[in-house]
Amino acid sequence: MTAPNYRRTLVRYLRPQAGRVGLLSAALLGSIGLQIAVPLILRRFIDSALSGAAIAGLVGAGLAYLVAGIINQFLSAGATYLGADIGWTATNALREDLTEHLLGLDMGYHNDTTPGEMIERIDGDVTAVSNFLSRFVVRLLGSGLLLIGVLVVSWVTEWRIGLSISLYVAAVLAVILRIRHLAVEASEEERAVSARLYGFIEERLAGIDDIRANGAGRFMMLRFVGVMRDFYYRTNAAWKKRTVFWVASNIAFWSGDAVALAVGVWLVISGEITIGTAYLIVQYVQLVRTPIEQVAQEFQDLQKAAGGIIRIDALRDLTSNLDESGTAVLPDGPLSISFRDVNFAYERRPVLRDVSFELEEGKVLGLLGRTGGGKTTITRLISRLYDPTEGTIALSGVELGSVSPVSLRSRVGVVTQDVQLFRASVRDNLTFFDHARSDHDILATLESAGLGEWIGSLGLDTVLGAGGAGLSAGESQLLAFARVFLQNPGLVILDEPSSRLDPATESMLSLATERLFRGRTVVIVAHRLDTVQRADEIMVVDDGVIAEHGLRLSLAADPASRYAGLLAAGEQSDMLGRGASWAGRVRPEGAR
Amino acid sequence: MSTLRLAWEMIRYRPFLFMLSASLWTIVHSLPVVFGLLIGQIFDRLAGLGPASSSPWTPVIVFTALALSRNGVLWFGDIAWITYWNDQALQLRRNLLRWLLEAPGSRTIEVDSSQAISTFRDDVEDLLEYVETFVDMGGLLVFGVGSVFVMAQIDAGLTGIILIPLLLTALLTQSLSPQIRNRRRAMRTATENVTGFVGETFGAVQAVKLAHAEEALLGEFRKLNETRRTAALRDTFLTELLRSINFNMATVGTALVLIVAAGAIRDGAFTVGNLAVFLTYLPRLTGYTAFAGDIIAQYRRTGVAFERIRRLAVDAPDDALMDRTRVPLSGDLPDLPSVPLRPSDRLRRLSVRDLTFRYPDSEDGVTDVSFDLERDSFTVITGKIGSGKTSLLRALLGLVPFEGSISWNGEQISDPASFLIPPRSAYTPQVPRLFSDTLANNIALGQHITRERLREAVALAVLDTDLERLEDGMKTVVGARGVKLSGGQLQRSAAARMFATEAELLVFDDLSSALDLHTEAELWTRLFEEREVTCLVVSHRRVALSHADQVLLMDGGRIVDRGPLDELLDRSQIMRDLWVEADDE
Repeated sequence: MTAPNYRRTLVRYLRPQAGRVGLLSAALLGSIGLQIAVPLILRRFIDSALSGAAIAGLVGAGLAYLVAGIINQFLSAGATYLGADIGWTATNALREDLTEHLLGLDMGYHNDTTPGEMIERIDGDVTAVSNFLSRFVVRLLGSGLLLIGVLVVSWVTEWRIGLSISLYVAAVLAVILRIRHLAVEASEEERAVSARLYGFIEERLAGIDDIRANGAGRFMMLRFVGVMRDFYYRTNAAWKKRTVFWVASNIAFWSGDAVALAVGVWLVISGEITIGTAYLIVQYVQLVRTPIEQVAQEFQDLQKAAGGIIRIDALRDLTSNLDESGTAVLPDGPLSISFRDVNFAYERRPVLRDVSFELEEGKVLGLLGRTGGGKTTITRLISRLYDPTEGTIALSGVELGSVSPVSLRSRVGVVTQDVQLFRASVRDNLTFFDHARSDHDILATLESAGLGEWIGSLGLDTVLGAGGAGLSAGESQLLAFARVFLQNPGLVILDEPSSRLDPATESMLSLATERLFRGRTVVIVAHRLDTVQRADEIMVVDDGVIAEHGLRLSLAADPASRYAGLLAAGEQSDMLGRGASWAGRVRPEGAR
Repeated sequence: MSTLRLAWEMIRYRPFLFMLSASLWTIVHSLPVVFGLLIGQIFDRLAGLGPASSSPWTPVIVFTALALSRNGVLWFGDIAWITYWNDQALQLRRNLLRWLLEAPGSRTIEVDSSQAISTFRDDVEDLLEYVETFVDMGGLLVFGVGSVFVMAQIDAGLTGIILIPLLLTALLTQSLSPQIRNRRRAMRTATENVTGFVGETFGAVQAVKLAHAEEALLGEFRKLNETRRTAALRDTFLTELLRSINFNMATVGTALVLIVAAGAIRDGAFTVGNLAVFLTYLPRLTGYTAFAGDIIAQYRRTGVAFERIRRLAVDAPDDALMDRTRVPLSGDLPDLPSVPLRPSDRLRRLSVRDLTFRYPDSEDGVTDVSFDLERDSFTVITGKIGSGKTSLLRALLGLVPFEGSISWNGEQISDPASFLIPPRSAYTPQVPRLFSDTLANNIALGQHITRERLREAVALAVLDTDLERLEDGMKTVVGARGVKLSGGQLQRSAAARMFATEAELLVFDDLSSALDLHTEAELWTRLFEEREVTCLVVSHRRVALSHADQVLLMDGGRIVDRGPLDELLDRSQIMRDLWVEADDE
């Protein structure tokens, strides 16, 4: 692991905001200057009053105090606001860059990560860095400068004052840095136990029917007592840690006040300083409280930010295994498919071996075979989510690797088994947030696909819940179809859902399938008898090789073929008086 | 219950701890009155004022001793308060959850789960923060009255003048603090939208890549980020503004003292010690006035929080929510009593008459449903999607408020929610839920179940082979909401849970949604072999329908026809449609 490159991150995201950073620095410096000056005004006031100066001078000092105090407060509020603005702008840019970079990585990377991890990486790590970007400058530099300023003025005023304030600052910083971990640990422990408590409650509320109708209320409440005890004792312990930290730093600060008074009294009595200066010491000791706290906190955040920056840099160094620099364009109309000696291994485990086949444009190919046999891999190679380890794949004679991503994605459409939906409007779910498409265009296309009435009743503006809540499984499938219709590709890959849908959507889906197949090349991983029967050709894939490939009708007519065997097994499985449900459940072994 | 009454009820939960906290905090808050006086003394004595023999060292030593001992008081005050806070918070949460899970009667939770959790967490904390104001209030009053009294003794006119900016602070805080909370909430929502979007984007990354939608999604992400930035800045702006104003009021107050008292100071009528007293009190007084300004907003907030708690608790009386029974924080927990099946509990006949239930603000539900169910019979409720099948089961079990009557062996059930439970009845919903616990605990739900009975239930639910494959068998921890199991395993575990109760009546809603055909067929076969069972099920499967002693055909929330399957197929078009659709599937 390398040392975090703070400079690179700082420069990259702060340079575009150089103007605002300059303004921030000015506000900060101004505010620091005034904070140091205000107690000096007060000292002068006290000393002049005691020596019997003119009223006008005193009133003037009072006015100066007022003006300096107010300007200072607005400057420091402005600095905080500007700092927040700069920080948010910078970290949003960082989040966006990172998201873009991660979206560009191939599926090999994404298969190993969960969405929760991605949230942690893109938001969690970046937020740690955000504190670094937005507050580091303001707080650490600002606080540091203020501390230095106070020390300089103290040393100039009287060396003993300078010495005692310096010793005080050093001592308090040492104490706080030593015990700060208590406060951090306390927060982490509290977060962990609350997650358990509220997780318990959330689960029980979600399963309230199960609990009540099975008489499990008392059992759950007894279980809850266990969770509550854990929460109670651990939260109390965590809170005590925080109190230790709080009281200890409080004692340190109040000792400072006592020392300031003592030093002041001693030096005034020995005639070294004026009473005004004694009061100045009290004021300065109180003034350095906040910067001391902030410096201590920023040290902590710096460590967190370092971790964040290291992890972010590591992510940036990842590259996609797919070369997406191709520029070739696929022709209009249906596409042909050609596999030549294609081998594919995933994590060194061979998945496909020497697969070669041709499919003419406009034909429908049904892929059958056991789960894990390689059907899905073939479809993923065609849609170029992966590249083959060896061999070539071409669409209408154009080698897949040389096709531009834009052309490939617009000409090859995919419907997967599990439809991935966003918590967004139906429109955004259809177009993947492409706002260039007009409603008129969307409705017209879906109308011609026979989905007009359905989409009309659903409403383009309807907002779907998380994970497509509000849609039945069948409706999600229809939505996936609608996406492909809007895309209007020349080649469609369809992985049919294996779970059964409600009968009403089933018939709509069947109709949509028929329309989708018109004038397109289709590869289907079929689970339903009637869908398989739409295929022109059948290919049975088993253990990574093509076990059988031919015209559907001729295979069906040949009793020795595996397809015919599958058909027979399908009829047997109809013992419930229902249509067969295919592949995965109806094992090809039945054919033997 | 009024908000004040609410606070009183909470204080009464652990009155001693509350009083202890309040007394300690009163000391902590009021000591600074003395600190001001001491600092004044120090500077007056330095300036040579006061009695000739007096040394400035005496007040310095007293100050140091008091300041340090104040931290000791603060330590005990804080510990006392956290102990109270945690105990009280658990009591409120326990009361709320207990009402939802255990109280008799029907109730539906009308808020979504994140709102419900926010009520359990934030609204409960709002109530406690209100009680906290009472802990602090005494000390703040003592300090306020004490410091104003001391200052007025020095210069009544000047004290009057500097109170004006303080009042302004209180008024401003009062008017701004609700807005600050709103903005903070907006900020939280914006953050949730961003993290939610990231989760969804990477959850759907394959679809995104296949649609080449990376650019468009980034555009959307930028928009959400921008919204979040704006929300964050609006929050920062108001917070900073309020802080500046409070701080400035202290500055203005100090400047007023300097300007107004300038002449008096020079003449010696207003001493340097007096000045030090004013300057010590002012910042603290401003801070406390801001606190006082927030009390009114806090009062309103507490009212709103309690309303939300009431709404979540549906029909809970305030007494139940404020029940003072202590949460047992130590000691052994009682065993769950096993509920014996009394002879009168043996089911002979279940009768439902004129059962009606409506979802709020909706036409959906069930209307005037009546039917009878005999011992050892198999009744199937069927109908199109949205015809009211699930609603009928939920109303019958008392899970939702309904009208009509339900009788068990001719005896009317007054509260189905607490009567139709094991050992009389057990239920598996359409989308069953499991809980993060072992599979064994999920199935037994606290009942002492023999191994034999457990094994039978598991076998009946066709879960036996899965169980062999699970690494830890019955001890497998199923993960949050059962995520470590497949959908089918989850549904069959729920079925096993129902079978393990050996209840007189089994009620289950469409087992098919996550089961494949063979597994479902196996389950039905095993169930039909078990003759001693009375079932009420929702299904549109041929296998279930053809085994039914009676089929209840539902449409538009009503039972439109009933009888053996053959008769229904003869005379009902809806039944024929369903039968054919079942075939097409």
